[in-house]
Amino acid sequence: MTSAIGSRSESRSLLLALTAALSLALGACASFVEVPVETPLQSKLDVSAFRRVLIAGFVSDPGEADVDLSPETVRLLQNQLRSHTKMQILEPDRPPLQDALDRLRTRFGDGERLSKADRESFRLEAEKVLQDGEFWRRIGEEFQNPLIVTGKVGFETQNRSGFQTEERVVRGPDNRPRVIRGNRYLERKGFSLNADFVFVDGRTGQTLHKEKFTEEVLYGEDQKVSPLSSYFELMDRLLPNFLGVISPQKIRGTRVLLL
Amino acid sequence: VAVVILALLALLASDPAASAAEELRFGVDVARKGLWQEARFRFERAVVLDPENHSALNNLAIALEQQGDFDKAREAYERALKLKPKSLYIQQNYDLFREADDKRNRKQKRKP
Repeated sequence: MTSAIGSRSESRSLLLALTAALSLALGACASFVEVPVETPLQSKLDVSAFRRVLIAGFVSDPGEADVDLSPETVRLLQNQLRSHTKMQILEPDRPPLQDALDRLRTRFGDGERLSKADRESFRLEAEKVLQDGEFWRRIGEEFQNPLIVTGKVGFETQNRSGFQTEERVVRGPDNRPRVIRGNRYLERKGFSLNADFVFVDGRTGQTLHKEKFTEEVLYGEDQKVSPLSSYFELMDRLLPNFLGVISPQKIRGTRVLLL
Repeated sequence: VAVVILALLALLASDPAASAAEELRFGVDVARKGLWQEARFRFERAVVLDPENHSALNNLAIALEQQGDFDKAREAYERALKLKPKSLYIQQNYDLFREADDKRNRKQKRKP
């Protein structure tokens, strides 16, 4: 009996010694250090020739009243560029594209009652302005040859309410759980943001680069989110890609250094 | 005692693998502080001293990646993996590097 206990105790000591040795060995093998890394990502456009940047305003569909898209986008991009580029941010009282768009609005009208044909004509004419090299060269001359950022912005409310299949677990008389499938009407609202950014050389009026972004967000029935805050949420998602066009970005991650 | 210590130091200095391990340790220390230029220098020395040291090559690859020297980083990762094909850490680093590199290349291709 005594010898059995002694032998058990010896085995336990041996096991402990082995575990300790194994832990030490593993500790020695696991000599690694995780470090954060930031790898550089060059900007898409070489903007070294520009000392100034002008956010010239954006075309938006007439009658879109939830968010005042052009001024909000101009202000947001100006703020972002201020902290992400060394270029001087020009801030005219009125974005230069505004006058041209106002002339079109006077011609076609504005607001909810605008006919589909007039809306389409407005879009076509606005597109012509965006592609008018001479128009942008003149703007460039007026603002001392900056890099010009312009384009189109669209923001729409989307009603995604409808029936959705749901599964519920209920217990029967025998206390066994059962899965019951059913349909429930869910009120859901979403917003989508479409932005076509155009980068124009203010010295020549020529388009240097175009970038198209689409973002969407969906909210549940219990979430009350205003269109404006949703607009900012969606803009926040696409901003890194916008900034990546004209300023170098960094890809953040981790790597494992070995010893 | 002094003679023994000096002899040991001399032995250490003449042992390239031991010197490489020293460089490696110092490189890791400075890399943790974000001093990647110095870390790169140390890892490069470690590789020169011990070209078969997979850890030194892995670390050098990370330092090169951090500094934007992507072609050399890829080469160093591949050499490290050739020396230690079953290292999960090196493989993971290399996979993450390739993922980031793909992202960069996609952006480069879309340049006007």
